[in-house]
Amino acid sequence: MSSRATWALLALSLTGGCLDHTPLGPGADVVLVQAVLNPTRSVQHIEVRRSGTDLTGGVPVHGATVTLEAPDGAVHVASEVPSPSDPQGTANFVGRYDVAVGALTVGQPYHLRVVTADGTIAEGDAIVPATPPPQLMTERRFDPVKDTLRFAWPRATGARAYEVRLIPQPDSAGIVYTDPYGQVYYSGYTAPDFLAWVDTSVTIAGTARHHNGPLFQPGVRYVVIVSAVDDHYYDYFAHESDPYSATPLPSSLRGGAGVFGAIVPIVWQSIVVEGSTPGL
Amino acid sequence: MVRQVEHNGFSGWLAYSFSLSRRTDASGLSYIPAQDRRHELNLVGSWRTSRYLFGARFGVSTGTPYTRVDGVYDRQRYDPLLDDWEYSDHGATRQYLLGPRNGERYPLAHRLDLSLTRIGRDGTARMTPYLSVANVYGAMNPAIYTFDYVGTVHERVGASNFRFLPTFGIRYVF
Repeated sequence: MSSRATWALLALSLTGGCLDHTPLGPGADVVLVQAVLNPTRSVQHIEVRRSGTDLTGGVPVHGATVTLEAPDGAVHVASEVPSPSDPQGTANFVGRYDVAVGALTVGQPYHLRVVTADGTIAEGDAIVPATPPPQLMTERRFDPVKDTLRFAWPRATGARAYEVRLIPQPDSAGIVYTDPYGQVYYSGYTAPDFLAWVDTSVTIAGTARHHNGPLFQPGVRYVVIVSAVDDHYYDYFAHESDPYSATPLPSSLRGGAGVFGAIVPIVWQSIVVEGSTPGL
Repeated sequence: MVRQVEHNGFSGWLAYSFSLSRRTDASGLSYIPAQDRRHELNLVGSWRTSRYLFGARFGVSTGTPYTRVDGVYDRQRYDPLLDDWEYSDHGATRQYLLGPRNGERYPLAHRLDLSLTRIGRDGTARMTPYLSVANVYGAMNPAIYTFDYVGTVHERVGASNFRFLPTFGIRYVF
């Protein structure tokens, strides 16, 4: 066998894995609804989209009839509103509907019903956990070398878990994030916020790392929010779908995908991390 | 199974199996697991001469079950601070709309492997160089499908295992 043939045979064997491309039609057309009840707000936001387009963000659904039925039987009709991100303040980029229901009743089911213009119905139920009054704490300075973030709270009836969010604020000195390679990102970018699911307490060391960099970026102001969430919220946001293990994302809706759940902030504190960000 | 013991240098067997496998998950959903091989047929033979041993194996089996991806969408996270949905890269993650669990199967899998062994002696030791080739005719049996619904071209991409895999070696027994 000639050397050329030997090398050709070797190359063929090493690159033998082959790809076979088969065209597919449009993806499944499913009504996607995202709605959470937040009793600290007087207006609840509902987002209605459809999948099955070239955009993974889906297309907004306009002209749907969205109703929220309170435990006392009162039916509140949501209004389609412009997207907050629309600079003109007129376009509804995300299929947003708002409904004002006043103070929410805890411990009893609310019923959400979405009827699109073509008659597709997606509906679900959610119960707001009964939580103690929120702990609203004053802003504090935080030295990541010495300090540790600690919070504890009583268990709330109807809460499946507690979501801890550490959200960097872009108002802190114009910069918000330094990546592991020292690249500084200015306002317009946001540091990756931190999210954890815990039980009734959380402890985060000041030296904790996140996304391969320090969790607490020097000079940045963060808002820490701990929220009690119901089963539906937890199932939807604490899991991921995985096609290889055939794991779908849990959905609490009938006739569509998405979530109708509840979230109640119970701890709220702003912290300012000491130090300054390199590059300023 | 039908077996031929060595006769005039030839031996081999033909085997067929039929099996059914089902599982039930925690939610009570019954499905066919990925290990299910409904039909499997194997034909194996070897021919021995005074200096060579020639082997062949042909197998064909029902394709492996898999779960079809019907579409994708972005899941936005709720920001309790802004009381709004997050649309940034940090806030949105891609999720998959799946068909019935293991509701589809890969195509029928088939493969032919061949081997040739030179029977020799080096004094009291036995030296046998061999050459074997797996998947001789390059059957593209999919090992995995990935689904792409992003962009204007939607497609399913099937990746197969080695299309043609020769191996060469020498066995030295002393």
